[in-house]
Amino acid sequence: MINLIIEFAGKYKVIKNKNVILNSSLNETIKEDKTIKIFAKEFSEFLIKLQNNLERK
Amino acid sequence: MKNTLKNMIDFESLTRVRNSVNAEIFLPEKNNLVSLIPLEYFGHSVKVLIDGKIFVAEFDEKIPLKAELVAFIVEKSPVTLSLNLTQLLSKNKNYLLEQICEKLKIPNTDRNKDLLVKIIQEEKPIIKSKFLQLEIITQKIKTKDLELSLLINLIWKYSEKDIPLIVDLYENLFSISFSSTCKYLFNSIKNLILNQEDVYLLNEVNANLIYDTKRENTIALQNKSEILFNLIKYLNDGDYSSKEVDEFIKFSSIYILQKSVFKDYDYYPDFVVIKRGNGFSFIKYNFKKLYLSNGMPSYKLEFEHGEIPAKIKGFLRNNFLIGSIDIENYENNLLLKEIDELKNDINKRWQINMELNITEDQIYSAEKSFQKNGINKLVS
Repeated sequence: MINLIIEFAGKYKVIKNKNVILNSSLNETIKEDKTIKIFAKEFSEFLIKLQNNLERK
Repeated sequence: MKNTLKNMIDFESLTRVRNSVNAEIFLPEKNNLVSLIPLEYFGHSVKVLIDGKIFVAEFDEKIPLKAELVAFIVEKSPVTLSLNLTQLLSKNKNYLLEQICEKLKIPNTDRNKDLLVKIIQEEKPIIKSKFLQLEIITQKIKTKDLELSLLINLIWKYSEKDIPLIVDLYENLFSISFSSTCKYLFNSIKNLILNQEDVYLLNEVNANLIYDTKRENTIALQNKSEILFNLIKYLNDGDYSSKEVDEFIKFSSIYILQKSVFKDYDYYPDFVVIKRGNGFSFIKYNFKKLYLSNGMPSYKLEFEHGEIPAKIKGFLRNNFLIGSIDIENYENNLLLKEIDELKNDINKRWQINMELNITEDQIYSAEKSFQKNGINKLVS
């Protein structure tokens, strides 16, 4: 995964060096956190509900 | 080197803590700041140099040695110091910032004070050498919000020789903020749907990247890194080429890389694309994961609607969330009713109790708006 993403990042000039700061963390990035998922759902739906109410006014 | 110093009879005897150094006399009063250099750990305490005198002090946290820093005096006997200035910041911000500038002999400018506030909010110790590095870098790299928080974490973690790497990271990967990356990616997802006819691609995007409240496809609420990576691979292997595809690959790559760096410092920023009727909405959020002394995680969270002025801020600890909400032009009673429903839903589904307050600004602006519209019956 690292190589392909870095290849694209290089192609689109978003990084110059494959430095340690990036490589140390990239493998870990796809792990999920259940609490974040719960609130992403609840608060996103809540904000959309508020948007719908506002637009109905 | 100590053997070469003239008249240096015994180096250790000079650095030994002597009874003559009386903390009651030589240290400022409780709750004041001192500038100090921690020299070495001394049992469970630390030998520190304050105004040329050595004291043995207790700290409530691990501290960096041989660096000039600022601490506040919790107790004078025994000497107990703390590097965490967050409480002092909330009590008396201006006085605290003036004291830090004076102790570290740095100019008392608005810019320096803003940087100090951000460092304290990140719960980092005020180390003079690190502050000066930050001050120099932020003259070159204009950054704020989440990216400034990250920059502070990087400078505090890495040594001075790594500064070119950090600058490189900001001149390239973080030349656009994560917030902008999410907006660009949101637009490129919409463009992909409008301009591509590939059935597999459209199905994948609709099922995994766009949350439909009717279908409740919660996968679209998750971290999108893996899904985006698989789509990049699919587009690349299938030799797709168009402006929309290029944009999508570019911002997906930036998204994955930026998120991976943030994750290292326990920041989890993200966005949600939501299908509403024939259109789409965009919600961005950020979670900062903190760890309690028992190792359990707690979360500081912020949600912001991309199209209407609405924000939620909160802090989740164990099974209790306390927070506030701000939304413009919204009737208070209706908002309270919606909050109550949300509280009940969250409690029923996840056994999490919640206290979501309407901020004073929100109450004031709502009252003002309804008075102007003549809706407030008490006034009319």
